[in-house]
Amino acid sequence: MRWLLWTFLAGVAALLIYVEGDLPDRGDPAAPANVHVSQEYLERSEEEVGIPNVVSAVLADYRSYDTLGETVVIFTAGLASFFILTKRGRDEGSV
Amino acid sequence: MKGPFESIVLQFIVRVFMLPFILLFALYVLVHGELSPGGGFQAGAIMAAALLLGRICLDLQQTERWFPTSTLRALSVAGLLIFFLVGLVPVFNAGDFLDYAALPIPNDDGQVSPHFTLRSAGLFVVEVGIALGVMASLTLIFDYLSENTRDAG
Repeated sequence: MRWLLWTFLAGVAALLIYVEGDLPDRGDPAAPANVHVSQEYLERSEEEVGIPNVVSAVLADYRSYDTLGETVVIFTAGLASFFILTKRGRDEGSV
Repeated sequence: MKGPFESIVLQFIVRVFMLPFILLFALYVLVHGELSPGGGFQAGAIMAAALLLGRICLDLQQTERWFPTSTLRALSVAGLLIFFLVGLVPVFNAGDFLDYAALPIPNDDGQVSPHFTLRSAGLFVVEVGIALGVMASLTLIFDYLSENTRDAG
């Protein structure tokens, strides 16, 4: 079975190398990621939000709904470990 | 947890040098996050690292007195609530959800003080909430995994 695995991995590697040539250059101003809203963020975030750190401005102001969800994810991880790992007296009848 | 490491050198270094420095650095990452790389998540993770270091290396009775599991449970909820309420208050003040510019704080055309706009003030409060929630949640996971749940309900 091992040759199957290596053939599959070689195929995936060949595919990735093939499509790599179509990726935009690093920092290309015409790349799709750089022509939508990111230009607006860079130009206007300091004036609109009032802080010089664009990353913080995007994370906690423009995209704060997403950050709220991330905080809920971390909180849920703590909550899950509470419900799963807390010792309870199952022998005493409580669930 | 069975107990701390016996080495007095380790305990001294952790208590006197590492814990204060890590906590101070976490505070710096939190309050300086609006100017330089940093923010709530990073500060919360660093604070959690400090708490875990104390729980692993120091006397358990002592570290539990600082941040017992029950306090951490409350803090993790409090952090999330701070974020959510800061987002919810503008809704009742003719704004959108998480629209810090509509927070009911006295301001002069969006400017709370010469250095704080209304939006950056709301952003800072939110970052504090994130830091608290992340710090408490990460440490809670460690506590429950290590069966350090003597006061757990």
